[in-house]
Amino acid sequence: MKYPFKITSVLLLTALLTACGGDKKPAAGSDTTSTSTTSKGAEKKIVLFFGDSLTAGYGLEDASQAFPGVVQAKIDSAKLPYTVVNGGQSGETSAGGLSRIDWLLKQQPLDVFVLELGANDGLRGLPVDATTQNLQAIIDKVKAKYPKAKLVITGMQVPPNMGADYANNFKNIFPTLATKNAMVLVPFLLQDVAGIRKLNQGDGIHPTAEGAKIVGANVWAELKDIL
Amino acid sequence: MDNMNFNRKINFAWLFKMALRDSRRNRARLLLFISSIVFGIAALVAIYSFRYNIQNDINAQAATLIGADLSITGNKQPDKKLQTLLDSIGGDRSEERSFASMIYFPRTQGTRLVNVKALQGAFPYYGDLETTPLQAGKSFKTGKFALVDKTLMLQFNAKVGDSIKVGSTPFAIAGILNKAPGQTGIAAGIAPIVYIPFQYLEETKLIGLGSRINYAYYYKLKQGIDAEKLSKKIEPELEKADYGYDTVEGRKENTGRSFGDLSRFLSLVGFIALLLGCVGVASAINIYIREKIASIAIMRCMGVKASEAFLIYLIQITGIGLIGSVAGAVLGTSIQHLLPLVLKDFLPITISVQISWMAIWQGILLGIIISVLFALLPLINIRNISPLNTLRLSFEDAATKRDPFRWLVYLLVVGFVVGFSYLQLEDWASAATFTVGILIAFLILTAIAWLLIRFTRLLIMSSWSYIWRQGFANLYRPRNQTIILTVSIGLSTAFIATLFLIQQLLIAQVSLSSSGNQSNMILFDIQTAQEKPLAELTRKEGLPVLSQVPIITMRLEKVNGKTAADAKKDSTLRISPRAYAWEYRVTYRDSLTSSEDITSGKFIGKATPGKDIPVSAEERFAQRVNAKVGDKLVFNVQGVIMNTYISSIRKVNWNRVQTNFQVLFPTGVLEDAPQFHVLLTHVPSQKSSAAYQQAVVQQFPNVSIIDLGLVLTVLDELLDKIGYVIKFMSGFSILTGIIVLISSVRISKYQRIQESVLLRTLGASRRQIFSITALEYLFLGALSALTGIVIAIGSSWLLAKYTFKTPYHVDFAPVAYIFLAITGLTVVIGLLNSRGILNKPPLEVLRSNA
Amino acid sequence: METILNIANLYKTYKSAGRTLTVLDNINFAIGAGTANAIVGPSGSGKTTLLGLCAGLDSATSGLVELNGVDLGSLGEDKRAQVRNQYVGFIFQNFQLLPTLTALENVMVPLELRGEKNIKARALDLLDKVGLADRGHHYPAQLSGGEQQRVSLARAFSNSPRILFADEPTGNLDAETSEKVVKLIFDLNTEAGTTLVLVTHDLELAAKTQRILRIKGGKLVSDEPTGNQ
Repeated sequence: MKYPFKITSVLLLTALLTACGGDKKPAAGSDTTSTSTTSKGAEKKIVLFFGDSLTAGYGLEDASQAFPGVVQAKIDSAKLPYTVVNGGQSGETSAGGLSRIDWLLKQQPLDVFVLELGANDGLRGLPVDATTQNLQAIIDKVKAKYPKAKLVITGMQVPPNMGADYANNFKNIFPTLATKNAMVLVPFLLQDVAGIRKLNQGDGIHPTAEGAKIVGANVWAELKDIL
Repeated sequence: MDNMNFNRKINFAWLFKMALRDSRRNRARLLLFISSIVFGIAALVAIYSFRYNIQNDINAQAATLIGADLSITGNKQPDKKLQTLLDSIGGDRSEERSFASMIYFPRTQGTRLVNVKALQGAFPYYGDLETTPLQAGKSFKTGKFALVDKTLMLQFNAKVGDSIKVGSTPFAIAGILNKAPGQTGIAAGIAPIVYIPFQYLEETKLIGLGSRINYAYYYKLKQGIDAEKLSKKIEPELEKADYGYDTVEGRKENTGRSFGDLSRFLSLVGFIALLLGCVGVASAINIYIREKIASIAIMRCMGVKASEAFLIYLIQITGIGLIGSVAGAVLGTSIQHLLPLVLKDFLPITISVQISWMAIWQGILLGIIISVLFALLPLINIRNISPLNTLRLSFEDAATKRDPFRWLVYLLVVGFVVGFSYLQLEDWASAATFTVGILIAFLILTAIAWLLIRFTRLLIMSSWSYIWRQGFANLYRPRNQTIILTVSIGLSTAFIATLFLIQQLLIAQVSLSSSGNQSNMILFDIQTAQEKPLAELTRKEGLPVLSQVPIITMRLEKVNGKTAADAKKDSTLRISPRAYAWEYRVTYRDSLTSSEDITSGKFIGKATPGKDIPVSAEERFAQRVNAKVGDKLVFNVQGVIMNTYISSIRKVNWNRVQTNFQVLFPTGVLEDAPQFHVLLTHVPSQKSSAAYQQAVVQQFPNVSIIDLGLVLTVLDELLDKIGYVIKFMSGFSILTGIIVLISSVRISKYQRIQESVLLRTLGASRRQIFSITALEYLFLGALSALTGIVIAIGSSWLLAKYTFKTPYHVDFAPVAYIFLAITGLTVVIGLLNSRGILNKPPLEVLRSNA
Repeated sequence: METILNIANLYKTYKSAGRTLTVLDNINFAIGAGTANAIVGPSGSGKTTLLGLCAGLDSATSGLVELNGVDLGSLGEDKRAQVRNQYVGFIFQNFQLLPTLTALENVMVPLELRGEKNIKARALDLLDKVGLADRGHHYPAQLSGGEQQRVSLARAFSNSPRILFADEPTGNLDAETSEKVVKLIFDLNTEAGTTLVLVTHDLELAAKTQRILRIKGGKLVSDEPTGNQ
């Protein structure tokens, strides 16, 4: 059709875009694909980053620019025997993650599990309780399948415009879960990045490559101790 | 020889006198001719006037889509340079900040994500913030007041006067927001809207480091400043600042085909009005001049030169054309003023009635031009009318003489139709195409008439009763009216039926977008386990599950073995490297939806285990990856590699709220892949919307809901209006078409007088003459109407395909009614025509019409 | 005697359905000014065609038609129209009045065409002569056949023609009216000194002229004086 009924289709598109990271922008991360070119297979242990667009590297040119790639680079330069697997999917909510985790666990062995979800829940103002429950369920599934895996959770916050009450409740999800499940906590994944224009892409929420480096450093600061 | 003077000067005064004299006698007959012109021009003027007025109305309404002449939006604080630019734009400006926030309803202790809009200034400049109570839309800016989306009010059982907490500031609800101009999906779709006054934004403490705020500036530009031009000028600077803009024109374009369809439809109506005018005027003039042939021959005998005779009638026709056109313009304008008054109670829309001088002048000018042009054809024959005709009645051969001027006149007529079509359609190619179309229609009708004349002669059997033979013989006997009536009835029918068919298609299109079955609520992020219970809940709430689709995210790995790296390196592959970077939202089904059409290949709905998976690619996607049917695509479905091939390429009709996909998988592959679901439903009222949302949020907290109600209301109203306008204009044009048709059949009144009177003199009963006349008109009417309808089906198909680009179908029942109506009408008028003759003594008729 | 109409070697043929139909076959005659002549012959003999050619209403296939010294064959239709207007008067079987003009106006047309003055008075005078002075404002449809033919007679004489062509002038009239009209024709003719060319198959009427030209099958078969003066 030459004259698509744009307003309505744009609506839907927009809805999906906001919800899922959209299909109009490149997402550099690729699901469960090794970002390490030097992988030698079974010898190396696996760090699985399970997350949303921040993990997937939404809007970045290259998957290696997303923060798991940054972490991989740091692992490589530290000469640690770990391969990073990027299990990020743009637009994923905690509920979506819960649905997806079985598919992933079925075929992806792991030694370290980094859980980076919840940001999309927060941006949509989903109830904090529901998010907490979903994340807990994911953790439970990982624990059940790989009891020996080391677990990491990344803290997230919502922008102040969401209102102080919600923002506070939301922020508290992550330390609570970390304590409860004896996980390593990255206090705030986007520390020193969130709200800083030049470190974020045009949409104001996804970090640029530059921003992702800082994000990677934030993670590395907590992760390096358990590798 | 004595002083023979061959250089007699043309005495114009005398020519005028003759023209006037000649028009004096038989005023009734002249009136009949003029009435035909009057109706033609009245139709034209009324249609044009309505068209101009309606266009203004719709444009005014379209302005409420955005609420301002120009809006400029971005998601970051304008920098100095941009601020200077924003300040430099003249006119009135309103400013708005909008952002998502969780607001709190203290009375019911509910929290909900909303879209807060802090507004200052007089926005909206077009349309209103429609609120209950009415004045709240304006008064809320005077204090700590908020306007709250109606659904939200219902959802939280809130009342006007209740308090809501936005950030750390309580606001009193001043009114319920029913409709707001300028809402688009981007912001409005996600969450319900709450308006607060701009001056209290700071106080809410929601603006701070990391806050995601949208900045909007609405302008009402000074008179005479063109928003389009202005925005084009400032576009580069806006782009540099990551800002976007919107104008009414741009929004109209984006709102899609409805506006385009309407303006194309109105152009079509204008074109048809023009042709109706032509048919009305031309058929009258043609018969009129034919009746004048005898007089002209006598004048020639008296020594009137051919050129003088020509001029006498040219003057006369111009005069008649002028009188008819002016009267037509007056009639058309009064129709335009009276009709909305009469129809006030039936029309759901108000149509403004301003005198359109443009339409009036066009009408008068057109009337005169059409009169003269179409008179020219018979008039140039005057030049060839031999004075010998006074001795012998052989009028027919005058027309058969080949005359180069004839071609010139044909050329003039065609040129005129093209020219005025251009004025209506504003596109030379369309004007030419339309004209050629009309020409073809004309030729078809003429050919049909010609065949009719030829074949009835052969068809008539001596075994038929006299009445039948006579009725049919009327079709071919000398001085028959077969050609002229076939053409005018046929063309009128073709116009009427074309308008009707196109109208039906467009109405179907418009209602497709705004009808009750159109989804206005989207639920997404539904997890597989929630799919069924949510559908159940939806039905339990009495809402339809219009569509429920699973969505799987995947990425493209290879196209015919070529990876992203290959595509980047080798541009001759013509595969967009970005195609590899996208995350594709894919669904699987075993069938196509009604909005999808296969353009090549064959859709396969089920995958065969162990073989490559047959997928269907959307047209533009296939283009982007430069793939055809049969080409192989490799997808990575979240870690699982899937080998597929393109079994079909689809065209997707994007004109409704629904999920559309670039890649469509068959069933049997993706059922187990991680997926979420989208559900589309239609909520009939805001009350049910509120109840439904409440229920969904309670049971499925992770499911996100987009209520398009508020956005679609504005759009719906507009589409409704467009729909009614299309119906009204086509109805009105069809009506005028019928009137023109009636008057052009009516002018054949004098054609059959001699025969009928003669028959009566010979002792034919009134019933016999009645039957003969009825048979002649029945046959003429039926054949012409049938031909016209066939032409209409062809032309509407072409219009649908090339102009409106919409799928075509014909509803034959109403078409059959049109056929019956026009045939019946023709017979009735034909009988009415001869009624006068039948009721008077033959002698009286003979004498007054000798 | 001055010759007003000279016809020499006149042929008129029509092509019809591939066949050539000769309607007039080598006609030769000359008519003197001020004489009264009749062309007689059976229906279809070509006499009406001959009249049409003589009056310049049509052009010949070949041959000469010289009217008042003007070779009509050399003129275009418009110029022939002017010749008609200046020298020729017509009376038709069907009267051929302009239906949209009053009797008076019908009479005035040829004069108006010539751009003459005092037209109305002259037209009224002519109507008076044909006995219709009080019917001038009537339209042809309101007049009887005889009255119409008288109007047409007035019209024919209005431009003081040098030659008057009459095509079956009494063909549509009853005997009594015919007589009146014929008398008028001859009276006016004599009074104005007009040449009269009468086409008729009414031998009684033809006998009132000075000369009878007989046409048969397109050929002039006889040309005899009647002895009238």
